[in-house]
Amino acid sequence: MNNYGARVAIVDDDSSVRKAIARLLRSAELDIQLCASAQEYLEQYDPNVPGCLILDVNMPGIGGLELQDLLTERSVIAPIIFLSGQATVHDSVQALKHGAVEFLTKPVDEDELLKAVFSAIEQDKQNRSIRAEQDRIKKTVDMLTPREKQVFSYVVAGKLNKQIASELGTVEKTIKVHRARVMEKLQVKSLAELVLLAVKAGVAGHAPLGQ
Amino acid sequence: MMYGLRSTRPELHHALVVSGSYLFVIASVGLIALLIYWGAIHAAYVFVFCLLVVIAAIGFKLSVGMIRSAKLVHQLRIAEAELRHSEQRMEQAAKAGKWGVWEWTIDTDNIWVTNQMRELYGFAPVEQITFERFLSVVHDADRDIVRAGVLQFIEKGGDFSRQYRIVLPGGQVRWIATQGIVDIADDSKKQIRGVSFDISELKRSSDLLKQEKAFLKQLIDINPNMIFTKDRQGRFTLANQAVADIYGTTVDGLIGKTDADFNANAEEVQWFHQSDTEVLNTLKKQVIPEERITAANGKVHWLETVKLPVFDSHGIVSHVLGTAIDITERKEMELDLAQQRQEQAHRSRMTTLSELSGSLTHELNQPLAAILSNAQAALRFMAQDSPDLGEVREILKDIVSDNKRASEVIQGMRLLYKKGCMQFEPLDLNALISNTLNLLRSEMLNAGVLCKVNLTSGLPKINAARAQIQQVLINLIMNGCDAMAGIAESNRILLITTEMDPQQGIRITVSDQGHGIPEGTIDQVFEPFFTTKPQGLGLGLSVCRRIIIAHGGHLWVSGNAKGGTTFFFTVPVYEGSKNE
Repeated sequence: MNNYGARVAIVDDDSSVRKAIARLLRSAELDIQLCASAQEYLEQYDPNVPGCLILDVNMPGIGGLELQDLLTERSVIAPIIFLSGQATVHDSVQALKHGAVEFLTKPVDEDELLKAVFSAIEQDKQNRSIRAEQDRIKKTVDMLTPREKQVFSYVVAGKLNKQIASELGTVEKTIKVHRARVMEKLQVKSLAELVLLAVKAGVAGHAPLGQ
Repeated sequence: MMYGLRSTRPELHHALVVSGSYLFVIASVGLIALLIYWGAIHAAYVFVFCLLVVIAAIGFKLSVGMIRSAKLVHQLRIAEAELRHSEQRMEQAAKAGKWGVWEWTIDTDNIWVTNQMRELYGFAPVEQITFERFLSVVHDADRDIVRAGVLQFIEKGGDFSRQYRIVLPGGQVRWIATQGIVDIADDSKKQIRGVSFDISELKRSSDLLKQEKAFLKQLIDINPNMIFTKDRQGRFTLANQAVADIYGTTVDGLIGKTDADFNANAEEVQWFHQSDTEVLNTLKKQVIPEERITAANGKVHWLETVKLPVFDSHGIVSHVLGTAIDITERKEMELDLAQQRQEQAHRSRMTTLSELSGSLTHELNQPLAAILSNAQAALRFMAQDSPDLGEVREILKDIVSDNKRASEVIQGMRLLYKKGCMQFEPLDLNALISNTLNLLRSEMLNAGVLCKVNLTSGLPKINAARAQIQQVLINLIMNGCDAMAGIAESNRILLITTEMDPQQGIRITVSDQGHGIPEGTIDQVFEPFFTTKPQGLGLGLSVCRRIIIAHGGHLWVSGNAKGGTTFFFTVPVYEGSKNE
């Protein structure tokens, strides 16, 4: 099975649970990383290794939900599957709201767990390619001058050249020139393509750039 | 009379011999004088000599008789004196005993009486007493009976004995006892003789005795407690109304009967007889704090009984005396209270358990999760082309140990859920603490509390009810966790220690680093409904203290010098393990 070189980290303070989950994942030919605590995971975290995280909720020191928040703060995008021995509505709502892939309860069935793990790995793969694409787009967007960025954000917001000109206090002709340069620099040929790129870059619907 | 006749015969014989001899001498002298007168003889020397011999013999015989009669006279005098003396003594005795002596000759209807008798009956010193005169002083109520009795006695003979009242001239009533015998004299005339004496004093005291007895009976009957005496065979020889009431009979109906005649419960009857016999054999007082008795109506009563041996005047014990207080109501209240307390302890345990339910679920789900994943992994390994059997063996071992872990959790929960589990058993306290900490692992995790234990190894076992001691531990640990909720997580350390107590059993401490109990309220923490927690019922610690006291230990609390609170409790060591 192609798992894109992904590694699954199991963070649980209970050694027998850790060991058992690890065995199950290894039987599915997955790479495993074992961590007895959140600290251990943070210390060993390698952003270059793709994969996902199976995280216990109740642990001494940093708990599962705390770790999730810490990872978000540090922009670690590894998808998280929560595995709790004592599922509460509060915990599961918070976990899913904060972007967890799945909130499973112990004891967990292999199909359920493996399905979650593979979908998390898939998500990580997508996340990583989206991020790569975003990085690339951001780099090209960064090549735009401040004025071009402004025009770009107005255009994708659906404003007409005339409207943009009046808002920026210039003439329609100048806007047309800026618009052509943006299209050229971002290597798009139509307005539709430009809007799609803006969505990918995460600028669509936001306040105009450069303000 | 016969003896008298026989005794006079030698005297008669003697008199005949002497008088015969006199006649012979006189006849002989007359014959000699005639012979001399007739000249048949001149001198009667030979005859005279013979006569002298006879006369001497008579003289001797006479003098012997004289001496003897003098002796007899002397003896007679002594006898007379003795008789007089004995009469005097009799009279004195009669006087002293206030006995009146009498003799009634029926034919002449004359009653001879002594002066004492006259005094006793109030007769005049010289008047003649007849039967009717005698009856006239007898009390109206007794007269007919006395008359009939006497007449019957005369007819049948034998001994006469009767008690009756007489009325003295002054109206005073006197009790008289009379005893007599019928004597048929030589001339076939009937005589009755006998004595009478005053028994008024005796009567009075016997009446008093009867009154006292009746009063005592009243006294013991009015007593709500049971009072009884029984003989060696278990027969009631005395009983009061309370005993009769419980057995549904009368006091008289009890006498001579045994418990078995009224009590259908053979076990109780057996026990009563056993303890009675023990008192009779050991001669020792016995206090029975609690015993059952099944009443006639089938209701069970509880008694507190004291039994004593009863010594008679010879120091011999043949009866047991018992008093029993009916403590049924008190006993029922005690049972109710004990039940209430047990229910309260159980309720408090249920509350704790429901608070703990999430944590306990977690504790149970951990091993279950490991088991499931291990088993499923094993199946997948086995499905591979060349399965790693070594790995599978490891997995199976882990499944076994996780299974044990899960069943321990279930066992612990089951014991806590069990109702009224006051079964004492030898327990390893350190193991119980470890087991409890396993149950509370998640709870402490959630509270961010780190638990440190310092258990003395090799402690003797305690004698305790497992669930209850665990309940106390859980309460103290959870209290400790709650007390540290507001402080920095790195300081939330709970310390549990065990050691031998210098005074008694094993001492356990549960010590927290929390805010401590507010000054002045530390003594109140064990009072029911005292709580410092907004959601607390305030029953936990009061239940804990009761549990520890019921175990024969103590539970107390003190503030730590560096902040926080320490709870102490002691539990006695299991006696059986001291010898091991």
